[in-house]
Amino acid sequence: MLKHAISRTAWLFGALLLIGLLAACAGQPAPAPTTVPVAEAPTQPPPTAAPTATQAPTQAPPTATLAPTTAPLSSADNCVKCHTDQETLQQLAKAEEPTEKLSEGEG
Amino acid sequence: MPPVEAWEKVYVDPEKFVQNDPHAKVANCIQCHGGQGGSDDMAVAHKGVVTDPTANAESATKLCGTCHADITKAQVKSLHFDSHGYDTIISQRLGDAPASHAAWEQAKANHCSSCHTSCGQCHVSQPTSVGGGLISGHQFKKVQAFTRTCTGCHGSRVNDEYTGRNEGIPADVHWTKAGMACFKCHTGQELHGMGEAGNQTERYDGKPAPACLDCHPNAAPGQGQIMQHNIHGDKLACQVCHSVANKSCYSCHVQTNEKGQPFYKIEPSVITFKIGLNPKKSADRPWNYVVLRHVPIDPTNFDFYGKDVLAKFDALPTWKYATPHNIQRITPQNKTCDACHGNEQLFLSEKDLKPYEVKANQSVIPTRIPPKVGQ
Ligand code: HEC
Ligand code: HEC
Ligand code: HEC
Ligand code: HEC
Ligand code: HEC
Ligand code: HEC
Ligand code: HEC
Ligand code: HEC
Repeated sequence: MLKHAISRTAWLFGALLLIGLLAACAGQPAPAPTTVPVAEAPTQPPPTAAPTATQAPTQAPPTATLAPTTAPLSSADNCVKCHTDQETLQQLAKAEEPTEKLSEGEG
Repeated sequence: MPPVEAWEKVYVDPEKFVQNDPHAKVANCIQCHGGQGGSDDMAVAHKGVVTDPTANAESATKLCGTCHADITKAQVKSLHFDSHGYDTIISQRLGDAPASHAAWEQAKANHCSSCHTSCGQCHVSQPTSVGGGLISGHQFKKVQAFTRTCTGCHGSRVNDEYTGRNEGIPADVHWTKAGMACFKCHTGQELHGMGEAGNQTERYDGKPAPACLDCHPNAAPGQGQIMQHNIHGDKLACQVCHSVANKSCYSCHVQTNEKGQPFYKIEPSVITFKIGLNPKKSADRPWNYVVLRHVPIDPTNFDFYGKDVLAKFDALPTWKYATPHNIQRITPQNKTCDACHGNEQLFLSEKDLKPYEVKANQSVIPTRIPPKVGQ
């Protein structure tokens, strides 16, 4: 039973890894000359907040239509960025408010 | 439990989890927890976030069942997952009126849900009942420190007995001599509700798990030199001689406040050691005598939720089958034969009962106590 589960697991993992790798490769721009900084701009999701557009004329205008195509699946990059950053968390995470102790005695 | 800093409760280890834990590759944060990608604003990002993605059977099956099929299938029906042990026991005392059942359902929903145990509560975070929070940077571990998981829920009774926190009462020999964690005795198989554990209607249903004899086969009658083992056959549970005074509780009343927040009031616990007749006698648990412990039931526990909810209060004893986690080799009652034989105080009697529970306990009060043997 255990062996079976593990081999199925291993298989799934292999498959996932493969898909992951393929996806990663597909997402990569073809060996682009890294010296050209402009090439990087389009791969970044456009800022959704409008004001930035005025400061950066080289960036694509923040059109609503672009966003979904560049990010087909909601990216969790921000979750990772914040939740792995001790300093930010120390600022943001608040100790629970001492909830009113309603119950009496051990439970 | 020692407190964890607020930030640490939500700190995800970039190396140990994000880079190296296979479960960070299974899905991304949002696929497991919901929420909104692409925002730097905490409130926006957390919109719709689900703290425990394994809290309901459907999502646990979807997220974990693909790779851990057998475990997941069993666990979502286990005692830990849906606490159906409480239904099994309480329902025997409920009145026949549908209102009694409805009242219990409501009380259960209000008061029992925080001890509902998902995969995450044993493998990833502290239990919700103690405020949740990541234990080891979000790694999925076979076993986390039991002081961060198990005893978050099994604290005031099991842990206090096991680690010797009741004043004047020693800790369990398995803790003092062998430093055994809970899961050295309680296996994944048992806790996931797999195999025989899958049929359990309540915690003492079926064979003892674990059985003391699994690890101490020489203590079985006729297998060793110890007279006390050999003389009694299987008439006494091991704990009758090897466990010591333990916690009994009385009268837990449950209700909610104006805001609908559930709370309880329970009388201070008392330390008792009582031997009585085995209320769960079966081929699996053949002993005539076991240790009994008072549980916090009384006829008016659920009065907030309705009248006479426990109309059949007397259907079960209030002194219940118990297996206290404070095992010692030598105990006050086993140090000589007559420390036990003829020692009336050790055995449950009507003197130990409050008026409302005399009837309920008739089946567990010994009719005779063993006479002195002169040793
Ligand atoms: C795509 C397959 C996959 C999915 C889905 C998956 N796991 Fe796992 N899990 C694994 C593999 C592979 C291992 C073994 C890792 C190892 O041995 O290091 C594992 C190991 C574990 C372990 C033991 C870790 C240890 O210390 O050895 C736990 C606990 C666990 N998984 C829980 C879960 C839970 C809970 C979920 C659902 C939220 C889940 N898994 C979903 C593949 C998966
Ligand atoms: C979120 C709270 C919670 C956590 C965490 C928890 N338990 Fe439990 N446990 C319960 C509840 C509630 C029951 C009773 C369920 C019932 O009777 O319906 C229970 C029942 C049990 C039982 C008896 C039933 C059985 O499955 O054999 C054992 C043994 C047990 N727990 C051990 C453990 C151990 C060991 C751990 C840590 C690995 C643990 N528990 C973690 C709440 C919890
Ligand atoms: C009450 C606590 C508890 C709950 C709830 C729980 N587990 Fe476990 N799990 C354990 C223990 C204890 C072990 C065994 C560790 C050992 O034997 O070393 C274990 C082991 C595992 C392992 C490793 C198995 C192996 O053979 O290596 C996996 C995978 C796992 N659990 C997945 C899950 C999943 C998925 C869920 C929810 C569907 C879940 N667990 C719920 C306590 C729990
Ligand atoms: C495979 C599913 C899965 C993935 C992927 C995942 N988590 Fe979790 N996460 C869980 C589980 C299960 C728990 C334990 C919840 C519980 O037991 O209450 C948890 C707990 C948490 C908690 C603690 C919640 C609390 O208060 O107790 C935080 C914070 C968290 N995850 C953040 C993240 C972040 C950030 C990511 C992405 C880096 C992430 N998770 C990825 C399944 C996942
Ligand atoms: C030396 C072995 C051993 C260790 C270590 C151990 N237990 Fe137990 N536990 C038992 C036995 C034996 C039973 C009775 C099982 C039966 O009769 O089915 C039991 C029963 C239980 C029960 C159900 C009965 C009750 O009292 O509610 C819970 C809950 C429990 N254990 C939790 C824990 C926790 C939590 C820990 C760690 C703090 C732990 N156990 C450590 C042997 C052990
Ligand atoms: C998972 C295995 C396991 C289970 C189950 C278990 N024990 Fe033990 N027990 C041990 C270990 C290991 C020791 C320590 C042995 C040592 O160091 O001498 C021990 C020690 C003891 C001792 C002290 C022995 C001495 O020499 O001082 C007693 C008494 C004892 N156990 C009784 C019990 C009883 C009663 C139960 C059931 C409630 C039980 N054990 C369940 C493994 C177990
Ligand atoms: C009638 C009382 C009695 C009962 C019942 C009893 N024991 Fe004992 N046991 C003793 C006494 C007394 C000793 C200590 C003997 C000594 O140290 O001289 C002992 C010693 C032990 C030891 C340490 C022995 C050694 O060889 O190191 C273990 C382990 C043990 N018992 C386990 C059990 C288990 C398991 C059960 C249930 C199957 C059990 N006992 C039932 C009275 C009892
Ligand atoms: C912790 C309690 C305890 C200890 C210690 C104990 N016994 Fe017993 N003994 C009992 C109980 C209870 C019975 C009744 C069992 C039954 O009838 O089911 C019993 C029964 C007996 C019986 C059968 C006669 C009868 O009246 O039922 C004999 C003989 C006996 N014990 C001898 C001894 C001897 C000798 C020792 C010391 C070496 C000893 N016992 C230690 C509790 C104990």
